[in-house]
Amino acid sequence: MFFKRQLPVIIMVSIGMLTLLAHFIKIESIGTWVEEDSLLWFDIIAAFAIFLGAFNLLKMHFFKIFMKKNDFQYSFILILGFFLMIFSGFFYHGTQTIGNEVWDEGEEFIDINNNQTWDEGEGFTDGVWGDHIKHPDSLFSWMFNSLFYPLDATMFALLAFFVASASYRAFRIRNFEASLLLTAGVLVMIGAVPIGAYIPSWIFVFILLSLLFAFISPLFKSKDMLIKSFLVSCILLGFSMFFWNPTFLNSKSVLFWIIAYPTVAGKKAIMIGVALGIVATSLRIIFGKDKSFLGE
Amino acid sequence: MKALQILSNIDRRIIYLLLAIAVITPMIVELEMPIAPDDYAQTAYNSISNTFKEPNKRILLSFDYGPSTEPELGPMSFAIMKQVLLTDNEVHLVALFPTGLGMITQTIDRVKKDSLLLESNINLNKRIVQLGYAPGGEAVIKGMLSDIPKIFPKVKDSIKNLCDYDFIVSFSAGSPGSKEWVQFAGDQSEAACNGKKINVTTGVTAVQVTELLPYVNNGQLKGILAGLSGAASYESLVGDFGPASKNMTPQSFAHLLIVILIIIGNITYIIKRKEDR
Repeated sequence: MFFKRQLPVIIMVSIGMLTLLAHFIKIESIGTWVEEDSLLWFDIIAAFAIFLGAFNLLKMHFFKIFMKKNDFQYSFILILGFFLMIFSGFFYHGTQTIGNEVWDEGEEFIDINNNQTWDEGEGFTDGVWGDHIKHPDSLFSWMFNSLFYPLDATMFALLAFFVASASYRAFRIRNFEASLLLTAGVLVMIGAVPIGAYIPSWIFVFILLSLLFAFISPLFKSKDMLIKSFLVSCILLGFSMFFWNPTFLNSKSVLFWIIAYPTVAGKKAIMIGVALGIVATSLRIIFGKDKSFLGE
Repeated sequence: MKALQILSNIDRRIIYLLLAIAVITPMIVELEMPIAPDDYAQTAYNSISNTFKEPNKRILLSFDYGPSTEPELGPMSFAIMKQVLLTDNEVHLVALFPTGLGMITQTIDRVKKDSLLLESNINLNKRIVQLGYAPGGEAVIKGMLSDIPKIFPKVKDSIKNLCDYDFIVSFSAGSPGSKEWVQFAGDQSEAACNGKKINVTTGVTAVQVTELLPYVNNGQLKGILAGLSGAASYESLVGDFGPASKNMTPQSFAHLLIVILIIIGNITYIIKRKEDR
C-alpha cells in the first residue's frame, strides 16, 4: 500500500514543491536542476510513457481481435501498420544508399570547389543509423509519403464536407444569439476569401443597420413601428451615401474587427479563467489534496 | 411547395457533390483572384525582412504540423524559407511534431528546386541546417534556450542556445506550437540572453488564430499568418504566386457555397415556421 499510494504522493509533492520554490529561492544547484536536469527527466519519463501507450494500444486491439468484437477486422490493419512502421524505422533501411561507401543524393558532403554538387575526391558522410528516416528512397520515407501523408490529408479534407452539410442543417436564426453567431460566421467566411473583396461596401452598411435594429427591437412596442423605422432608416442611409463613401467597411475590415475585438475579448476571458483553474488544480496536486493522478 | 420541401431537406450527398464541384472547377479552369495582404501578414513580413536585410543571420523555423495541415502551413514555410535564403542567411529547422520531419524534407525539396534560388548561387547545403525532431514540447524549447547541443548533439559548434538566433517562426497546427514558442522562448529570451530579445512570429491554421491573437495584439508575436489566406498574403508580399494563392480560389467558391446553403436553410426555416404557426 505504501508503494502504491504514499510513495507516489511523497515523490510528487517533494518534486512539485522543489520546482515551485526554485522560482523564489536563488540556489544555483536547485535552479540548474529545474532548468536543465528536470527537463531530461521529463524526456525520459515521456519516452517510457510512449512505451506504455503503445503496449496499451496493442493490448486493446489484440483483445478486440481475440474476442471478435465489433469491427475487429480494422484492428488487423492497425497492428500491421504499427509493426510495419517499427520495422521500417528501426530495422530495415530499404535503400542501397546508406553504408555503400559511395556518395548518394541527400548525403552531406564537403563542397571543396563550392559548385553545390559532389565531385570525385570530395569527402562525404555515408549516413549513420537513423539517417534513412530522412532519406527520400528509404522504406520509411515511402511509407510516410505514400501511405501516411495521403491518409492523414484525406481524413482532414473530409471535414470540409461535414462542415458544409452541418452548416446547412444547424445554422438557424432561432433566436437573437443564434442570429448574431450566424451573421458573424457568414461575415468571417466571406472576409477570409478573395471573393469577399467583390462585395460592395454599402451592403455591409445595411448589414450593420439590420444588426442595430435587431439589438434595439425590444424597445419598439409595435412590430409595424419597427418595420417602418427600419425602412425609413434604410432610405435615409441609402440617400446619405450620395455624400459619403463607406469604403472603410469591406469584407476584410469587418473580418479583422470581429476577430480582433469581440473574439479576442472572449478568448482572453476564457484564457484567464483557464489559467486560474490551472493554478488552483496545480496547487491542489502539489499539496497532495488532489490524487486523481493515482486513478482515485 | 414541392420546391420548399426539397430545399428544406437537401440530401447530404448532394451537398457533398456540390462542394466537390465548387472546389474542383476553379482548379481545372485555373481561375485567379487578386490577393490583398492583410495587416497581420504585413507585420510578420516587415519584421522578417527588416531582420534579414543583411546576410549571415540565423532564423529558426519550427515545423509543428503534419500532412493534414500541410496545404495551409506548407506554402508559408516555403515562402519564409525562400525569403531568408535569398538574402544569404542561415535557416535552421526543427520539429516538435514527429510528422514535422516529413514536412521539413518536403519543404527543403521544394526550396532546392526553386529557380530563383538556383540562379542565386547560394550554397543551400550550407545555409540549411536540420536540427531534427525532439519529443517533449515545451521542455524541448526550455532546453534549447539554455543548451541546444544537449538536445540536438549533431548541431554545429557555433550554436549554443536559442540566443544565437535572430528570429523564430513556428508553423503550428496545435500543441506544442506557437503558444509554447512565445511563452518559453520569445518571452524568456530577454532574461536568458542578456537583454537580447528574440522576435517570434507564427503561421497557424485558421482555427487557431483567435487563440493567438492576444499575443499578437500584445506584441509578443510579430504578426501572424492566419491559415491559407495568411499564406496567400505572405506569398503576395514576397511576390511569389504559389500554391496558397492558387488554392484561395477553390476556397472562395467553397465558402460561397456554404453561405448560400446557410441562406437557403434559413429561408426555408422561416417559411416553415410561419406555416406551422
